[in-house]
Amino acid sequence: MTSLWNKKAVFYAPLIFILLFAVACGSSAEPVIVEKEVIVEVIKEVAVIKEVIKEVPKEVIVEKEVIKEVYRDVMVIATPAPAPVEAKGRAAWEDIAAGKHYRGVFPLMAIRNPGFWDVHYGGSLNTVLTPSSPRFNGLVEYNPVNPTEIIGDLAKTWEVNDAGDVYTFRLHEGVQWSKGRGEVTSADIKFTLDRITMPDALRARTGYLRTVHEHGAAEAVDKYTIKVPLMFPTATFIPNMATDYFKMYPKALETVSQDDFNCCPEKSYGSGPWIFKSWKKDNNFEFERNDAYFKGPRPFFDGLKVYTVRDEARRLAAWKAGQAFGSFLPWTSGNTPWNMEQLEIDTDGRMRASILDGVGIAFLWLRNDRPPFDNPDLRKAFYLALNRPEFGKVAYRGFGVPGTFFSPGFVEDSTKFAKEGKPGYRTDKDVDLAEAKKLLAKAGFPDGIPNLKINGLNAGSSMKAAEQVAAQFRRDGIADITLDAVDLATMYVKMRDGNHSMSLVNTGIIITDPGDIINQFFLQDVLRNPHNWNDPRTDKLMVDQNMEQDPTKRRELIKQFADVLHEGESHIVPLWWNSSGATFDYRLRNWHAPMTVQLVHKWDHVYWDPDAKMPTTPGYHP
Amino acid sequence: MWQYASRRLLLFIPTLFLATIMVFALFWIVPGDAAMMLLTGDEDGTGKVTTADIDKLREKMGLNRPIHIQYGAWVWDLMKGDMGTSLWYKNPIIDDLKERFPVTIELALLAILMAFVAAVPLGIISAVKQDTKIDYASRVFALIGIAMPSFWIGLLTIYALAYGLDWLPPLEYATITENPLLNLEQLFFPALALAFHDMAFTARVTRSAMLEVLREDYMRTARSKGLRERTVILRHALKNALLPVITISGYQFGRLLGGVIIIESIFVIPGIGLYLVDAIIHRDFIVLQGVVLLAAAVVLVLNLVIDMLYGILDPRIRYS
Repeated sequence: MTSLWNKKAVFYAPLIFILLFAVACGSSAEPVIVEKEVIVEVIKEVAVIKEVIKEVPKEVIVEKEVIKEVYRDVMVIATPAPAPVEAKGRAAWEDIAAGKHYRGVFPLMAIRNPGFWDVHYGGSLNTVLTPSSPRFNGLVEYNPVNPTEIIGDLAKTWEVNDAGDVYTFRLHEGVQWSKGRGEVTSADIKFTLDRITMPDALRARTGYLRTVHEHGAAEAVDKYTIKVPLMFPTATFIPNMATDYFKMYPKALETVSQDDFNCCPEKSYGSGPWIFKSWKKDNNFEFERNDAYFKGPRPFFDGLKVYTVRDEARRLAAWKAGQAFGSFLPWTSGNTPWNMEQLEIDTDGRMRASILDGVGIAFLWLRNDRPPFDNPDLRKAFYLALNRPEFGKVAYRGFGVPGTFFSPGFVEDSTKFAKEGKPGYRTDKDVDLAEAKKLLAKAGFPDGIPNLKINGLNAGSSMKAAEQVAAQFRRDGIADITLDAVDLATMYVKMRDGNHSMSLVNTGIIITDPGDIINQFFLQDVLRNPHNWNDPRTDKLMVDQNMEQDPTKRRELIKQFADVLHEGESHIVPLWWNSSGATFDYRLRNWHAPMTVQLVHKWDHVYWDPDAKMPTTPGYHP
Repeated sequence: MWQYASRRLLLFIPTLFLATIMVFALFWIVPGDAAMMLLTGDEDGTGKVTTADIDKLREKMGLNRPIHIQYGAWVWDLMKGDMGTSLWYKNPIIDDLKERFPVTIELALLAILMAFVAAVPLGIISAVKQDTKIDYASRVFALIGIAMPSFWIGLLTIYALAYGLDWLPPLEYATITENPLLNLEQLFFPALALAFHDMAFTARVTRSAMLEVLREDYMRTARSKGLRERTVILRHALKNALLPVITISGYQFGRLLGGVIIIESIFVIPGIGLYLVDAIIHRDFIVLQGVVLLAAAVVLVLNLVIDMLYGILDPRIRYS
């Protein structure tokens, strides 16, 4: 019989694969770090910048009627630690960085496709802030090389009147909108402030401005001076304006519709270090250097290309294979701090883990409008019974600190609570549990609360956290809880309208100031307080701290606020302040961890040093 | 035959209509909407968002209208050739579909091709060498392929490439017309991950079809005519055994359109899979409707083409 399978036939199919494989692999473009000799331009420039900072009066007399008016409407974002700092001339690092200019497009990675291109509009860090921030400047900014300071951005100087309710900004002269589309003037700033405060416009994260500044009230005094009156004196204004959401737009864009702004990045432009170049949806977006940037020699790359990689494992693999030299953000959703530490090991220290602590909080949200948690004793029992160190160890592998109501270190330090014997945080957990059980028995649940459902996000860390809450409470005889894991939209709806007794929510903060948390959880009718939990004491403190100009006094008021919450009867049970994980190649220099993951996204200060020495200690070092 | 094809084409209309009603109804049942997602963002959002803000935006976007009105408006626009505007991205979805659909179709076709090229010889060998070591090995391979989901194979592939070779397909996506080589680099491994399951399945179907055909009388007749064994197998057996293989290829193509969702995420392929994921997360039902409509139409057309192919492969089959 003739042999059916001669060699040619047998190897025909595998050969096709081998050929395809060879073609696929063979021509792969290895990421090349272009190192070329560059002419170092030495610019001798002595910048003399004077900044006038007037002291804010320590006491501000506010009429009672104003307080009442503010109470229902105000968004409370109060001053964090940073105080205005005088802008300096060119720093030494800028000269060093200029000499290391990267001749090429620098690859980075982000986690989401850009959503809208109007940073004033929507509500998402990854889809709005990230792609927009590099193109624009604010009036003021958190100093990228020392992020606890606030410095001028477009504003050269600013001052506040004695009453604390009028800010006057003096702009840098000669700043150009990108590609020479005119000079930045006070008319542009007025346009932007009016645009943000436009009645009925959607302003998810810039809505703050409406609560302190009246639409149309800003006044362009001269070409470079803008006066911004506030509705009342508040120390919250500057820290809030320094966030990356309050970017300044040119007046020439006033004819661009909101939809065009959102959909099409080529229809808008700014004065920032980067100019939009291209966007391949669900693949990458690219910026080119603004050669006329007024903070020259910044930025220090010819371009930035940000790949949007949704899959967590793929991101880790891409960093491992050298396809990108860092995360675009100080936070990469889904890639945990321990992922980043492992990546550092896997890449023999090339990719360094950058861990930011206390940037988000996991909390239990209890429905205070219906049984059983309409009973404050039961809310307190849950607050007391939770073993936070154990929770953090299991759910977050110990990255972070036990949960408090306000950012770690602002008015309280949860790492010291155990030593202080604070209820709910005691070292001897049995004492907390005994108190919790007493409250349960008093409410008619001596054997714990049966048949509770927890509404939680079906993402990795949230699931783990919800499981841990359920496991602890079941073990300790506090409650029998089953998990209902859903996606984000469903979770929000169920928080308000579902039949769940509680939800487990992870949230981030924009600035570390307690006002951020107050806005999210304790104002009335907000998404995270839909059933309007309140306490007359916190209601008053909320207003008082917002109006208080003296940082020390304000801190004391917030401490009092926290003390009321630590009675454990609010609708919130803080679980854990968690950490974020980012990664950067050790040769990427001058990236300084900001106070939260939502700040300092302009990428105008970092540079690439191919000669950098690998650090000997773990982690990223600027 | 053309009469048959025309009748089938007419049947597409109610089928597509039903598909859109089902998707619309499902979306109506699922909690949450685009207004909420716009305000809160697609991560666990921060900032001050009130329920009144959400209600106001809902009203503005027309999401408060009764479901049949919303559906009616969408169908009316569709009949005018307008597939609608994305609630999230605010651009016409037809533009996005034009960009993304060819990417996914290319990926699916490549996967089908890979599966076919590998599976058919494997199935033939397995059948011809029945109950030998080669057959056992081929059956084990098929079982593994069927048991392992595509996304798992995709993740293993990424892991093996990154940690074994320190190499990965490029992140930068290029279309086949922009840069064919880069395009192949991008699509080879995701197609392989997608093809693995189908390869195994097709190999099993080919084997069983071949075994059946090999026992037919006309095979004995062919051999008795003195034809070479290779000619007997490839011309007489394979042609008849291919009918079920082609049938499942059509089914697999539809399945692949679903499978690409995760594979596109893993391999950063900007096709309809990623578009669909975003639409679901953002509750962008206009996009979802558009994608489902298009996918349903493709599957229907493909089934029709396959039915037509039967007549070409087997002249006994006639359509009237």
